[in-house]
Amino acid sequence: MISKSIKNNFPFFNEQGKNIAYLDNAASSQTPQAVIDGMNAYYSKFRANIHRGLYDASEKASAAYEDARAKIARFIGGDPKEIIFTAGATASSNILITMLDNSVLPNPFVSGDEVVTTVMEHHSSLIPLQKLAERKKLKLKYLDILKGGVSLDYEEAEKMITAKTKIVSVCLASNVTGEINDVARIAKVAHTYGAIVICDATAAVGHIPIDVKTLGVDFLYFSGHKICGPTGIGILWGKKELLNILEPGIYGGGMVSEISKEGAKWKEAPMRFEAGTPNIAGVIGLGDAIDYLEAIGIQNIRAHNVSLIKKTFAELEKISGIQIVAEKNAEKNIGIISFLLEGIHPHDIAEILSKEGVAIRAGYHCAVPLHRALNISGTARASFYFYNTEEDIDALIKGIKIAKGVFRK
Amino acid sequence: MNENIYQENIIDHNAHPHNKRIISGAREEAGIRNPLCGDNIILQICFDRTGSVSDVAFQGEGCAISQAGLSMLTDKIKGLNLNQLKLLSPGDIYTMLGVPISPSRANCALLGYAALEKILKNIPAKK
Repeated sequence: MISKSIKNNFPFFNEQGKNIAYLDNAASSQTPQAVIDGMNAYYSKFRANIHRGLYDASEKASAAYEDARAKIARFIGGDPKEIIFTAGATASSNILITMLDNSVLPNPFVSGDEVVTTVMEHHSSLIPLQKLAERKKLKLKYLDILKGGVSLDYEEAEKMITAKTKIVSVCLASNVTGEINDVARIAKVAHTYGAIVICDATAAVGHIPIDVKTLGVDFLYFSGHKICGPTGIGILWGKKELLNILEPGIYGGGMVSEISKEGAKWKEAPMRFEAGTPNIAGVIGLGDAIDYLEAIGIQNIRAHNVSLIKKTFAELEKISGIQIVAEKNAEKNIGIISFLLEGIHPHDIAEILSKEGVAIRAGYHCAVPLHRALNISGTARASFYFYNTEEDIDALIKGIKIAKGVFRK
Repeated sequence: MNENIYQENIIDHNAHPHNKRIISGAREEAGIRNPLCGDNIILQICFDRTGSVSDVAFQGEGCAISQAGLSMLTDKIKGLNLNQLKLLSPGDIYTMLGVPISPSRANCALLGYAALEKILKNIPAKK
């Protein structure tokens, strides 16, 4: 287990108290001092725009920005030229779909072609696909979960993906059930038909090691704020050979190699996709967050989370009237447990827990189709990170028992 | 006011909500979704010949605050006429609930009120 003293690295816990059980990490993680310091250094010591200034501060800012890109590339097994900075996973997903939509692909979309995604996608991944399907007259197909479970139906995936499939989009882990998907298996099938494979890694990144080559995907994206980075920053990774044939998703300064009254030509990736002044402090902060996580070790973070998940499953199971919306296998869970309590609405659970110093989330977690597939309305969700402790789980369990007491009628 | 929002009356209304049923063929009806959680409710109202509420009912699941709010609101508006309905304000709902409602739960507390507003907006258009 990771030492409890790690909370000292986070000003949030000094402010809110070390005893707060912050179990809303799937919504946003906390920020370590090192990340705040990194961003402060930029704003207070070398604040300038990047890539264009011929003076010391701009050179420093550019170096810090590109250094972060290199760190993130290494972190996911990619090349720095394959990392595009965005405003977060939602922006990544939208920009990627616009890029594909704007481009003349070697294997272009034809009316009636298919897009395969899953019922467990976050709305940020799903809605851009729905809109693309609408614009290009593609058929959007949903891979379901197995009856009575939360795991994807992989055998069905092998049937659903065909020569008509142009895009396959699947998340690496569900932000509701915590289920880690076998993305590599789906990517392999998709590639036998030449489909483009997109992976939303937002719920998984920073919790398990990620290697884009092992996953075998073409595009992958995530937000920085769920892995100790600042809000408003994220990345889109794409295979170099694909990125360099794609049109930009947004247009502006800093992305053109040539421009005239008649039109413009683009720089190579990633510059062609980063029009305008980016979130420089955010990029630097995200780079510092990666350094921070790597100093702890992703494998150590994973082991810590697995032990918390095991304990949480064991403790929750002892409570009568509880329904755990997850596969009760910690090895397949990213660190997210959603649950229902008989006769108590998830919002009431969350409100009572908040009074007990336990921060969880209630609702649909931007994954309505998954809730429909599970035939449930909202859920209460506890999500863990490496600074959570066994005491946090005890507080969660105690709070749930209090909620049951309040509603005992 | 007590800090605890889960007072006896809230718990009672949640466990045994008043007027939670379906009025078949109700003239006035509005569905509304709680933006916080996505829960849906439907409010139905019947007016008599004098323009007063002769019957009112609601359907749909939700948290204790929204269920209690709907239960109390439906009790309150029985017999009121259009003008009296229009004079109702969010403050009346908070007073009826009698517990502190944080800004994050205002949508829950006012779910029934929002449905009522929707119904009232539609009435002049119909006439």
